[in-house]
Amino acid sequence: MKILLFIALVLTLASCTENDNPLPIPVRDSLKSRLLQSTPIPKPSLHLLEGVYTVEAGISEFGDQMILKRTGDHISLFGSNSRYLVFETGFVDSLAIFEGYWRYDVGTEIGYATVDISNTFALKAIDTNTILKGYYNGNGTKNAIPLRLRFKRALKDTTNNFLILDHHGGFNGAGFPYSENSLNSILFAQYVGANGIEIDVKLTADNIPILFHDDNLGTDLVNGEFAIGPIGNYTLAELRALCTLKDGEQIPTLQEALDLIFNQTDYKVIWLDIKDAGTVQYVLPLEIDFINKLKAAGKDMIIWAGLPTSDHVNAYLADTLHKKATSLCELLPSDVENAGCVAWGPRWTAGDQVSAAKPLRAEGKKVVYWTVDKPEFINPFLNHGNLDGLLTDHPGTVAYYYYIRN
Amino acid sequence: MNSRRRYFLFLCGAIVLSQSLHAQTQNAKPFTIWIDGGGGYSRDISPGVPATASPGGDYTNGGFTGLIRIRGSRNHFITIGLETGWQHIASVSQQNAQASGFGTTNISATLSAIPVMGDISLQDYNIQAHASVGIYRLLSKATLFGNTISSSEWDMAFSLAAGYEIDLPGDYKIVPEFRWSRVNDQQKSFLSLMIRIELPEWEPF
Repeated sequence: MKILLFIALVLTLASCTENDNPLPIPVRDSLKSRLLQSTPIPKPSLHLLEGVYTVEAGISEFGDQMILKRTGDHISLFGSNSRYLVFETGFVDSLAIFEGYWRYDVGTEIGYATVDISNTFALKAIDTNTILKGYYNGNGTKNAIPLRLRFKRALKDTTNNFLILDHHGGFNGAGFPYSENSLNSILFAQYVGANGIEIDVKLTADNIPILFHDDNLGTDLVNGEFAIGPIGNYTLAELRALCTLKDGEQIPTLQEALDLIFNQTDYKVIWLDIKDAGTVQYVLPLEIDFINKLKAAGKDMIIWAGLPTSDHVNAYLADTLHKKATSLCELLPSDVENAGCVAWGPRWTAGDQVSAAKPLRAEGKKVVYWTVDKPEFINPFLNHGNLDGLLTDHPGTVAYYYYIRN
Repeated sequence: MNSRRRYFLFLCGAIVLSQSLHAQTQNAKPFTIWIDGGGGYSRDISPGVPATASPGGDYTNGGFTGLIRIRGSRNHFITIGLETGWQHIASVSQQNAQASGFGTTNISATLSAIPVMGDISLQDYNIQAHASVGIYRLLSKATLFGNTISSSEWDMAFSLAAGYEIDLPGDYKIVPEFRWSRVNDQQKSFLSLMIRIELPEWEPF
């Protein structure tokens, strides 16, 4: 009998499998996609659609209201229940076609979605007669469920200045289709509510800053059976030969990530979370090059070298390049001042610390709390805090609660 | 099921088993020590993780495993002990493997482990059952780009095993053992088949 109990335990445990692989985006049937024949919708026209929408059909999935935001040639909608829609866009005849998918920020549900609107929206003011109409799930079949959204009001804040930074360079634990700290996730995060990105920086054995969060290589982050132990044991070439990120992408260098951000995103801010103080000296030259590039291009983007410990601050101040760099300190406001940082990044669990944040902001410094994920914690910061933004694993949820406010 | 839940379930199972057998532990005997050791074949049964960044090559995910175990108890039913050993997990040999941005290289790599586990076991007639929790020292050695890298890490692990004890002359015993092991962070599961030799019982006190 006891042996049978043991065998039962063995079978129970053996049957438990884990799957950390990122969830893929549903691929629409390209042969049926109406966007194949479309012409691009001008960005200013798409921008007109930004606002609060009442959900008239699809409430059970998306809640009763959604926020519509434009990013590049995509539009995204965010609901209160952490569900969001991401659409590619295009004009086809008299219609603006939006095709894409919906998914759940903290779950694995995902599906196809599409809505249309008369192309006349681009020619007149948006009002409450503006309706986005289509369906989700069951791509073109009888299983498709109606989706209808009616424009309710414009956004109160149209500046896009409130900073919503996505954690871990697009945290894949939240159901992202790409590995965290990957080039794909950096691109993807801008469509799910982020207007800033926090990326984690580690150093290889040949002193190349790369995007990676953990000290050790592990199967939760990489594929590559023989790549184990501290990531700093390996040169970049060895990492590139021995493993890939979970989604198959190579572990990117910081330089590759910065090039991508510069060329293909409109992020307002990049927070470099430098994991080890010894890495600071290798990050600063890249940061300064990036700042110079931004200046030359006149691009409205800022970058912070993150300083989470006093060792980081000391390493930062010991490097003469710091005078040309911009940084964020996670320690006390006095450390922010002493290190000459332009931003403060306090941990959210210490509370909103309004009295400390206020004078810093009065000096023009940014205050961004990390890492705030749940509505019950997001809202107090939005309602009572004195802040410029939040670092979060759920940018769509923060976007919803920020923009839904009156 | 995540790893914490898996450990919780494992510990609950071990505790329930121990408690259910409590009644049978009343007739204490002199403290006895058992020492055994053996070897066999172990195979990685985890869902396929790519060996390297490039497909192909000569890959094996099984090999020799060896174990030494020492147990003690005041009765001959439930024992507590320690076990360690060595386990070959996998090896690969690839020609002209891709390394994005760095061209190609030949790769030769092995992955092995040294387990250090606490063991609770019980014996009913000739059947032994073991539950172990502890750590694996994972060892990787890879040669590529003309350089050899050795890297290692500690990883939580547990295992369950069942064996059948066969008497040999001179109070020795031979025990075929079937074992399932799980390594936490690297998410690896192994099945092993071993033959152990158990030395004669030793009553030091």
